[in-house]
Amino acid sequence: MRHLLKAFPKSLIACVLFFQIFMVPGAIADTSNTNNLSIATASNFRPVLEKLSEAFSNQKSVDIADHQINISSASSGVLYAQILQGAPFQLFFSANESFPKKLVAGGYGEPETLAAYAIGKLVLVSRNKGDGFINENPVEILSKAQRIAIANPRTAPYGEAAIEVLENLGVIEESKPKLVMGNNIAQAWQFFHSGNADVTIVAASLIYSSGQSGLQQGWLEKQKLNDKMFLTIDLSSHLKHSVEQGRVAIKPMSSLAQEFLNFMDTSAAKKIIVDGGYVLPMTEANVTDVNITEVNPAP
Amino acid sequence: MSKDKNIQLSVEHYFFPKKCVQKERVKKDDSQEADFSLVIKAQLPNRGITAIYGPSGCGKTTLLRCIAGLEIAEQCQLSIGDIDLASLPTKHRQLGYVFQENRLFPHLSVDGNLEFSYKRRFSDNGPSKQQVIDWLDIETLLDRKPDQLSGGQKQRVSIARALLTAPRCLLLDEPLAGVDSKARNLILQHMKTVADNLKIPMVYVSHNLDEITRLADYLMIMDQGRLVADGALLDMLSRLDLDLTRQENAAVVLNTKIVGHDDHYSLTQLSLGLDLNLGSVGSCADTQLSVGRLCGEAGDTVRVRIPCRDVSIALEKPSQSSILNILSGAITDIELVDGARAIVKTDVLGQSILARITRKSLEHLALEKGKSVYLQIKTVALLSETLV
Amino acid sequence: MNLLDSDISALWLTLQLAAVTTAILMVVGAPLAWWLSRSTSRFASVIEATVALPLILPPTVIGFYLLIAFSPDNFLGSGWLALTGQPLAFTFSGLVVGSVIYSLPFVVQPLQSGFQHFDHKLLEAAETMGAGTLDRFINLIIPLTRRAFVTAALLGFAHTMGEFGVVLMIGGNIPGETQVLSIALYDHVEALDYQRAHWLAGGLLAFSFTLLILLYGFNRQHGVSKAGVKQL
Repeated sequence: MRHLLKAFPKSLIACVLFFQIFMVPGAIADTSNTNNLSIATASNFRPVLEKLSEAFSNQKSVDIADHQINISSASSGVLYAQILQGAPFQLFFSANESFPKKLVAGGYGEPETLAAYAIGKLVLVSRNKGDGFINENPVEILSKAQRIAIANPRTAPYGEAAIEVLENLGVIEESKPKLVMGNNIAQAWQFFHSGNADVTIVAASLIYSSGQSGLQQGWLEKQKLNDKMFLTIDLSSHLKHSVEQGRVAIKPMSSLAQEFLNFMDTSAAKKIIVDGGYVLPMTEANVTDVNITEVNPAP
Repeated sequence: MSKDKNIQLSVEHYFFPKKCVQKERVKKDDSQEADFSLVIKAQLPNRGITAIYGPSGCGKTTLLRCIAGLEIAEQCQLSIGDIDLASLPTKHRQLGYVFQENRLFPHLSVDGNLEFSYKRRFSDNGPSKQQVIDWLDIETLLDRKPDQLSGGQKQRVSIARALLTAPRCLLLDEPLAGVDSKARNLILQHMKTVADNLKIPMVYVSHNLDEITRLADYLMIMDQGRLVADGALLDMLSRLDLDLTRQENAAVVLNTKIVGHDDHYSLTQLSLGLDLNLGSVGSCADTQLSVGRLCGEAGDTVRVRIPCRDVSIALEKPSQSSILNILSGAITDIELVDGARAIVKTDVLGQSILARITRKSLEHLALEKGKSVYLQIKTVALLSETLV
Repeated sequence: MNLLDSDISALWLTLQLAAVTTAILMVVGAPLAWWLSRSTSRFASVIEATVALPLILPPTVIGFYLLIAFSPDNFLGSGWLALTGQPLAFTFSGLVVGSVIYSLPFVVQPLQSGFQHFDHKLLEAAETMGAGTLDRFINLIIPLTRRAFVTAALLGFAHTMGEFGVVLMIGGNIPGETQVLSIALYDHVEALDYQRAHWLAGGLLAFSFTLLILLYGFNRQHGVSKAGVKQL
């Protein structure tokens, strides 16, 4: 029995080595395989991107072989840093334009693929306390707030935008001590949703994660948490620059990546983006496309 | 013995391995009994040394622990004089306890251990630190750590430590088990000193008859959780109905008084009669014993131990014999021990001496109750058993 | 506040958090460890498992549930709010609660182990000398299990210094309040400020290493003594 136990560690090492040599390289090799598409996206765009990739895969097109789409989400700054370090993403959907621009400038991104894919709406969501009186003045709400959850402005464009709004509204100084920063807007939302922050400034798309049309109904139903209504205010008017979200393909671009970008120009894809709570960038193609309607997310 | 001079004891304790309320996580050592019950009702004298004697596993240690409060008995009534102890937790009972495994605190020196106890003493009526150090002769050990002491030294320190709390009673649980015989003798002497100087009662648990006969005044015999007999030591040792007297090393203990000294032959005369008017050396020789020269003066009490196997019986006083100690008395009881042997109890001046002889001799000499006989006690045997 | 100030404040905050957490854990953990070392009830193994949970649970799990628990909608959060007027999440107090849970096994387990090696019979001897529970604890148990106490305190402290996952979930990254060293480091990395990150990471590594050297050195110096070890 003893010699069996002594032999055990050796056999364990042998097993591990076996797997290392024969199994893992296959996984690594796959990422450079044209059948796999790795997409890095800012957290706020993830739900929409998932719908897009589903729609993409459902297309029966002979050009696209059996493929797999992997989506990684984090705050844009984190993803940008990872790409700089050589993370194997093929597409990058950022929450701002500057990170993709920097990637192109640094030689990481394909210049032709640099474009805005959506415009984000910044919203303020507040827990309405008690009496049911709905106050639509963001300044007042922010003044009365105890804790304001935003994404970290250092790394998340929506966080940066939130700070800008606070500055433009003139409440930045009194708000600073009340700010609570999540790593990204998803965490800011979690802080709010769990009840620990009573006000949050996030992307409207976060609230639209159901992604269905007729979603205003769904959203209102979702808001009824313990019979409390959440108040949502569109802050876009208080931003000097709208949150233009840009994308870029990372070199070397695979054919699958190109196919995906092509797909994003279709009206089906654009509808998904709009349904997800975004506004389309003001390009000629979008303006003339009669199938697309803008939906104002504010109730 | 009137009530207010007694230790009243009534304990009922049932030990079931699963249900027993123990203070220790470690299982009891006496694991012989699956179900063991201890039912004792006794009155012990409030002074002197009371020994609790019995075979291993009879519950002596459990009883002592119940007295100390270290075991919670199902039913326990305990009082010393008119102080009820049963309702008090251990730390308030003011009973000193000397454990079998000494249990000295390893992180403190001997002095530190003594100080620990002295700082927490129950009253100022107890002995001082120096007194205790002198009684137990531990002056040279004060700076040492417990792991630098021998078994015997550790026990002396344990006893000293227990005494410094100024307890109202000292409990000792087989303190000399595991101590070599030389150290044991030494400690027994020290304990005698302590007992003489201290006015508190001591309860001494042991299965060693030798220790008990040297120390005890009162004896409680236990077996299988029950009290078999109790009484003054001297009486108990000569009771033929007890198993005690059938042991190989059975002996009686006599209280004697020094009558005088024979400096020419370096001997001392002891009288069994405790009457002060003893006459001179040589008179009433039949009730006197000669032993090796002792320190002490006429009138001092000396306890003497006579093993039963060292006593022989004669119908006439032997005259031409090297044996000096010949006592005369009347037979009070005879008991057959086994097929071959018998014990004969003889009264000499109110004290009893046992002799173990063969059944053949018993019948040959036609010994019977009431008969006057002479007891020959080998002097040599006496000397080795004499306490100084 | 500029970045250097915020780093120093992060360091100070982390030290405070570690100190407060360790202090609480020593006071709470010692009786718990004592009970665990002596208990024969079946319930004890449940408690032991609970204590050991933070060893194997991802800190993010702890943080996740804590965030929910801290919410004013729930019992703990609302209770705290009522008691102190302050919410629990995103505060130093909230971090302390999280850290106490996170570092609990690092304090309780060494203590429990030390107590298990302690010769309980010595306690009986002290009891007969009139020593009460606290007396015995201070004058007998602590001196004889000193090593366990030192180990527990140092491990608890060092472990809390390095806390990240829990704070990430419940901290809110507030400089001077909940931005501890590990979070500040994470922040710097995310913002691509690698130089700052190096300072913090290197500093934390050096500190932890020194602490551990002290701990193991102390334990070795005082040897594997037989003092107080139960004779088996």
